[in-house]
Order: sequence, then C-alpha cells, then structure tokens
Amino acid sequence: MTASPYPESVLVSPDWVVDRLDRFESDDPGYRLLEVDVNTAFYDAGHVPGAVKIDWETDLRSEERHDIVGPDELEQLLGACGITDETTVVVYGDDSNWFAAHMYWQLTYYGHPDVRVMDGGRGYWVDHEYPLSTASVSPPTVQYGKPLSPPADPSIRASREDVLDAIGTETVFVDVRLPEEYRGEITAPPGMNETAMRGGHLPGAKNVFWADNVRPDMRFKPPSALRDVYRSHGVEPSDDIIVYCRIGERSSLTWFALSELLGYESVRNYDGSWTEWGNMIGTPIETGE
Amino acid sequence: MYDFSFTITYDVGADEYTDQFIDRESLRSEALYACLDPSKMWVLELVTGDPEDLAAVDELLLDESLDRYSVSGRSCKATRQVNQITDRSRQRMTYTYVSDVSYCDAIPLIAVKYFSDGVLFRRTRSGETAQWHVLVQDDENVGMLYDTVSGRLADGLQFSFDHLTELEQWESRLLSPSGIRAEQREVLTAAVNRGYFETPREITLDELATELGLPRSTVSYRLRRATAELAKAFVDQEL
Repeated sequence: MTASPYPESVLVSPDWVVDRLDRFESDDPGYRLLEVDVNTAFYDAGHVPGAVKIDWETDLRSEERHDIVGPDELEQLLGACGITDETTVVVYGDDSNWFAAHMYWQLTYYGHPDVRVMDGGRGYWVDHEYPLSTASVSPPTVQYGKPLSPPADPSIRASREDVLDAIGTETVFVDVRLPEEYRGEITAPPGMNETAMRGGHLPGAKNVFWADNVRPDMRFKPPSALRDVYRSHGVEPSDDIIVYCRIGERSSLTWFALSELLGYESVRNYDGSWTEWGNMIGTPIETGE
Repeated sequence: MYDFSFTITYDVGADEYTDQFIDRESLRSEALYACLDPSKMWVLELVTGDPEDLAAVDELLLDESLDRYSVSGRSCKATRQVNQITDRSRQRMTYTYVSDVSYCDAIPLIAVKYFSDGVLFRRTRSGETAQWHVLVQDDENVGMLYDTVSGRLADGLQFSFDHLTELEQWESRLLSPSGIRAEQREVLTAAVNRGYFETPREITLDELATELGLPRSTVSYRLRRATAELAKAFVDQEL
C-alpha cells in the first residue's frame, strides 16, 4: 500500500493498525481501537483484534435528552473502554466509517486530544483479509483524567438556531443524503423509524452524496479527487459550510472529509439533521431537484 | 415474508452487460439469486428476446471473466462458473455459481451480511434498469441494507426505492404457479409426448383416452383446462 496522502494524526491506514495490534491489545492505555458499526451485529461476527465494541444507539446517544451523549457520560464510556485523555484512539466501522467518523466528531467536539480514523473501515479490513478475532475485549477500566465539559470545540457543531440564522446567507448547506431523500420523496429508510413529518432539504442546500467521499474499496478518495467532488458542486475551501443528513452520522463522514482531510476552514455538522428539521413546525423547506 | 424492492438505473457505458439491454430492446432477463453466506452465491438467469439479439449476448452470458454482478466501482474478487442450461431460439438460461468470494459487491452478497439466515432474490432487467426484489423473513435490517446498497453504487448507477411490503402475490416466469392440476398435467404430458399437438396429429383423442385408460370426455376436459390455464398465464406474463 502506498503512503497515505493525509496526515496520520487524523487518518491511519489498515497497515498502520495491523503493525500496532500488540499495543491495541495491551492493557496499557496508550492505544485503543474502537469499532462503531451501524449494524452492531457485525462486531460479534469478527472484529480487529483488540477492538472494543461501541454501540452507537446506547453509547453515543443520550436517550433521555434525545441528543448526542453528554460530557459526563462520555467520560464514563471512555474510561470503561480503557481510554484516558492521553490515549491514541483509533475508530473504524462499517459503511465506510459512518459512525466511526461520527464518534471522531463527538470526541473532537468534546476535546479528546488524539483520535484517528482507520481508512476503509471495517469493510476494507475484512475484504483484504486482515486478521479478525471473535474474542471478547474488555480493557481495564481507567479514569479518563480530564473533564470534557464545556466542549472544547463547539465550532464544529451547528444547532437548529445556527441553521435558521444561516438561511439566506452565504453559508453553504451540504445535504449528504440520497437524491430521493434530498428531493423529499423519502423521509426515512424503509422499515426504520428515523422519520420526519416532511420531506425535502434546507433551502439552497447542495446535494453531495456521502459515498462520493470514498473509493469503491471504501477508503477516502485522494485529495485532488475529493476536492473536485466539492468544487464540482460549487463548494469551496473558504466557504462557511454546514453539513447534515438524517441523524447526523453520514454528515460526520463528510465533515471529516472536508474539515479534517481537506482542511476546509469552517465546517459544522448539524447533527439534529433531518429528523429534527423535518419535524419542526414551520421550518423553511425546499423539495425537488 | 417481506419484499424489499428497488431499481438500479444504469447510464449508457456504465456497465457492459447492461449496455446490451439498452441497445437491444427485445432483451429481458429474469434471475433468481440465492445466498446463504457472504462466500458464495447461486444465480439462475433466464434471458429472452429476439433470436438475433440473444445471439449478440451469447458470448457475454458465458464469459466467466465478465463481472455481471458487481454494482460498485470494483470488480468481484471471486471464482465464477457459468453453465448454459437452456439454449433455444428465443431464450437462454444460465446457471452461475460464484464462490471463494474475497469481496464482491453484488446485491445478494451485500445483502446476506444483513440477513444471516440467508436471502432469496429476484432480479428483472430490461433496457437501462434492473429491478431487485429482496425476499426476507424479517424486515428488521432492510433500512440498513437500503443505506448500504445505495452507498456502494458505481458512478453512472442510480438507486431508487420502490417498496417494502409483506409479500402477497408473486408473478414470475421462472417460478410461476401454472395453475395446472396434477391430473391435468398427466394428460397434457401424454398428449405432447404422443404427438397430439403435432400437425397433422399423430394420435387422436380417442386413442389417447384408450392409452390412458380414461373416458374420452375426461381426457378432453382435462386437456382443455390445462391449455386454457397455460394460455391465460402466458398472456398475463406478457402484459
């Protein structure tokens, strides 16, 4: 595999991980690997040796507040995964790292100093026959070590008020959902309850499908190709950008690509996304192309 | 059983096999896929069309190096064996066995990861579209499959969702229930084998009745019922 064109401080290759499996499997909290899948059953079928399972539904969301997990809960979760504020955390998952990117975004928002995504996620790892394990993984619980409140980087998160304020301004909305969701024909995937009362998109939003960030083998496109994806939709590095999807996870992947890989200056993830916007009273919505 | 149905639309030039269907309007394909785990898949595909159009795809149908199954921008890393099991002027049927899969972004091989009990698939193809029916016992993971499949498509392929319904009816050439009862089938088979439908007839109805040891009126009735069912089923399928 050729060297990654992206900094290892944000994106590491599967080879980088496989070379350090002994450290990830060690009780020492220096390195920790987390698998975060949309389909939580995948982990049990086999995971990267030493990877701790994160369940996005219970670990990354606060059921009570209907929000992303709070700072105290996150400290607890990280401590239980054997992670201190000095741990190098590598996240990966299915669907080209949807929820891995989402967890990266949450950790960055709250201020964990060293978190990285494994390129290609679970799919690339499995397809290319890297080692898998079904052994249970439970590193010794540790104290996280520093408070995560207030969030260290609130500038990467957009609220509904931020979105409302940005409508009609130069801020660029990037809707990363499928065209049929963007147009308003579908409000939730079949059989799922992530629904909205109304379909459509934010006024003026550009539709750049999340999968356009990745190659057929699920690794991120190289920088020039990735930049071209956004440039072809009229999204420039200096734009103020708000990304969103249905529940804020696919848009985390796009946020990661724009902010962390390409270094665009101002990118926020609207994690309330369509399940919030499409259910509010009287919000401005556009439908169609 | 649930039927999760979606359509993939191909741009010209996006897929060599589909291009033939775009160029040749008479071509239709219907396939049944079965998949029990992500390492192998079986495909029974019936392609119909005008004789000259079918002749044009013959080579592609049997080409084991052609990846007719991947919907992503990468080819399958797997072993393919293709056998032709029907070769008539207006139809070809092939049986394909895909095995030793390292990776293969065929719809069934993507889907089976979400339905560990195995899944059945029906796919119809004409022109620029391939419509898929994913048949599953439980619809729990359909939403995840929707998100995953739509995210895997190569450039030039578009995804659109059709429906997710509990399956109540089934219309398929490959598995069509003919509506012919067993006793009718017995008479029909004897009639065909003994040349009753040849011109001129090689056997009369009286002779057939004698051979079968049945009254003439019974043989006549069963034959009429059987041919009526076949004719109706044929017209229904054509519409």
